[in-house]
Amino acid sequence: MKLVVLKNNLKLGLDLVGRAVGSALNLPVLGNVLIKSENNKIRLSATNLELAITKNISGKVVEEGGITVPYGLLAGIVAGLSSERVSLETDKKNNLVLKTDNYEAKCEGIDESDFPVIPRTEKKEELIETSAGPLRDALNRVVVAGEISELRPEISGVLFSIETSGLKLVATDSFRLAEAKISSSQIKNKNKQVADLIVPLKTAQELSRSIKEDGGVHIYLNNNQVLFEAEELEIVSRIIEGKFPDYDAIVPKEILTEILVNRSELSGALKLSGLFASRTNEVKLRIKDKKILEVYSADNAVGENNYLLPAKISGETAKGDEPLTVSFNWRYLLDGIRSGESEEVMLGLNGDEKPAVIRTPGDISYFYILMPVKSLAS
Amino acid sequence: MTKEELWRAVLSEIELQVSRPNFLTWLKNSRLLDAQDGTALIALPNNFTKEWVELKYHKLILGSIRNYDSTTRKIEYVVEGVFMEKANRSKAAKLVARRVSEGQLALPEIKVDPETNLNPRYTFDSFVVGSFNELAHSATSAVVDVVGTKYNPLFIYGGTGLGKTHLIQAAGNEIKKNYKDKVKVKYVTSEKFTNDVVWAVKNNRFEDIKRTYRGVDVLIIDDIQFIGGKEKTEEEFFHTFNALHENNKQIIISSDRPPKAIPTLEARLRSRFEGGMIADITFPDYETRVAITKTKLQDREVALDEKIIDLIARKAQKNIREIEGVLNKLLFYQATYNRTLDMAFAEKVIAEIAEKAAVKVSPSQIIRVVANFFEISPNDLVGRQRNKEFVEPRQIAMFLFRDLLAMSYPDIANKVGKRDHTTAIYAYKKINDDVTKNPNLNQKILMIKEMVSSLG
Repeated sequence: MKLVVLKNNLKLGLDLVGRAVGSALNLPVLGNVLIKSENNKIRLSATNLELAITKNISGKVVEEGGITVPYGLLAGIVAGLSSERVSLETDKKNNLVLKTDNYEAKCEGIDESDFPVIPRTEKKEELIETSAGPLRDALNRVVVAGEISELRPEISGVLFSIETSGLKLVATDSFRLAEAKISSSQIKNKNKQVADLIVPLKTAQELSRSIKEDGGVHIYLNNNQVLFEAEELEIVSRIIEGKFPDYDAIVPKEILTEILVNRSELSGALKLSGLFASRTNEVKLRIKDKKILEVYSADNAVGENNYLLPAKISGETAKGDEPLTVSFNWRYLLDGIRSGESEEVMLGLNGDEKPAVIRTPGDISYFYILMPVKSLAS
Repeated sequence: MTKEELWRAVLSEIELQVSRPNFLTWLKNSRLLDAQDGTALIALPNNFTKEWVELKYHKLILGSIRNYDSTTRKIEYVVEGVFMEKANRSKAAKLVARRVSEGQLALPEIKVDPETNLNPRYTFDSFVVGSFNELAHSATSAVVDVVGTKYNPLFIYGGTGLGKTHLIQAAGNEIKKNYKDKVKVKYVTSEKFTNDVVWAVKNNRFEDIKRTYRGVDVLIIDDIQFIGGKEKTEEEFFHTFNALHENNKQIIISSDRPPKAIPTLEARLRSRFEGGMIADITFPDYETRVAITKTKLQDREVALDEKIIDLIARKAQKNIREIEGVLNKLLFYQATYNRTLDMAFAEKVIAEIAEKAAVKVSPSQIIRVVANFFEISPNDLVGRQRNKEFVEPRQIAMFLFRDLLAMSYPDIANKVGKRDHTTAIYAYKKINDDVTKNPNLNQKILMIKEMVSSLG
């Protein structure tokens, strides 16, 4: 094998596949990245046997072939290089020789035939095609609500609910839940497929990091695995077996107290209050009157603070004679507040025992619901 | 040779021929599903291993199988279930360890697993073991290790708020975790079971009940005493029980009393419950109450003064739920008034709760309960006889008058057969001393107290 590539292309490719590199403790070759050139294409692949990422990079193929080398070593070298062009060459002893104008390195590799075969996914089974940008945004807005749980594998992923008219992504950790819809204008469902699949959280995170703004992402499914195919990029992952909880029933149909508030001011207030929250991350939202929302937190050992925010508040504002107060985990609340771009955010409260809702005013494609923290009084 | 033995033999042969990491990565989690008509069906954990084994080890496997079973001509591979990689698992476990405060409410439909009905918050890790629940705990752990054959059915009984539900749900969660998707667990309260049966009777859909309850590998039923006397439910449960038991499926049952003390339970069910392992959970002793209080504080990530913990453990002796109540109240005060609790304040709060817990009972009611408990007549209890079987109940009654009703000594002595007040003082002091030394007596008094409070 002999290739000449630009350092930046190689670096970008390595960064992308690096997330799928497995643990070399079990099987050394899993800690390696496969570099392979075929039909004038240069392909980088890495896998941990649950997830595999393959990325094509541009470059000049002088001689076809392939080799695997330890990922950490190669990534380290490439990060430190100053030259623009890099030549990669194999010798007869399974070494990768890397050369620039003023640098030369020889890395011990492992034969490419020892690298796991990435399972084929038949392309005829296409589920859906979606625009990359909207998919990436939707993923970013839901993965914050997910969490990996050994006890509950079925919620340790992002639900891709495919309908003929759209694609819905949902994630939950049982304390909060986020749903983002991708509208029918952004998708092509040629085969009129309808399916629910649960994609592992890590795969979803990698997918959102890897795809670009433009172009499309094709999703294929067969044999318990899913293939995401974007421009010069393939992500193959197992899917999680099981049934995602039926969550429709918990989405609040009504809102008792509606608060409209500036998004960045509220997230700033939450970060400040977070400094004074006890280790349980509890902050209180208190309705002072119809125009002021108070964010309050206190801890025995630290002290206390409160932040007053101008807001437009309608609906219930008091509980008996007391101003309405609801406690939340500020990190969870912040995750929801940050999942949007608009200047204002709508926060809907339903008392201190029922889920609250966060939405962007005028946008029905996304919601985030979370449960309050119960104050300690029994 | 069974297929398990055949596969073990094949694997040990292959193990010698491939390197250890390769064997562990590709072949360790394989199973032989079937070997018939010349075709062997091999299950592998994921597509990666399937591709690899097909490509690299096919000849080796075929050759080894043929050494034992020369009729095999073909091998087919399938992907079965999902096994997480070891390294990933510890990473996942770390992520779970991210602490969520006790007060954080969960979305109601999601916190409970719809398939198993288990609440993932109940785990063995958070279960405090002491002498009062040691037997139940070790029996349950044994059941988790050897599902279905060791103690079947496992019957756990004990009073309310002592951790029965925690224990049996933890068993379900642990089984689910250890065996992944290979073992189907179902947790149900006997109330839910009854409702399902009623629904089935109404809609004539017994097939549904059979499918839901007989298709599981582990059935956990909570508070079984409530099905006593409901004929159709008992019958359906009887058949479900038999179907599962015959197939070595694990059954775990909890109740507030032993099988023989559930009055309306049919004899055939009772004898079946008694055929497995019966373990009881009694009242936690002082040391365990301290441990439980500390665990609960840790869960909430707060600290309390040792002296206050001691006070809680001494005062809240009825059950664990009471400890929880006292703690909640104390921590609430601490959070609202934002100051560290002092001893005097804690005493006040605990006294408030204790007062609320004490029911308005009359001295004669206590006499009746105590007499009833020792199976003597109330007249003998207040009588003059000094036989041993009357003296202890008499002293306990006097102790309770003082302890529960805060009566004066002369008053107590008067109520119990017009005795001298020094007798009452002596009785109170004696029992108060003995309670700390004699766990047996402590147990009796706690049980009597529970009976008294259930009067209100």
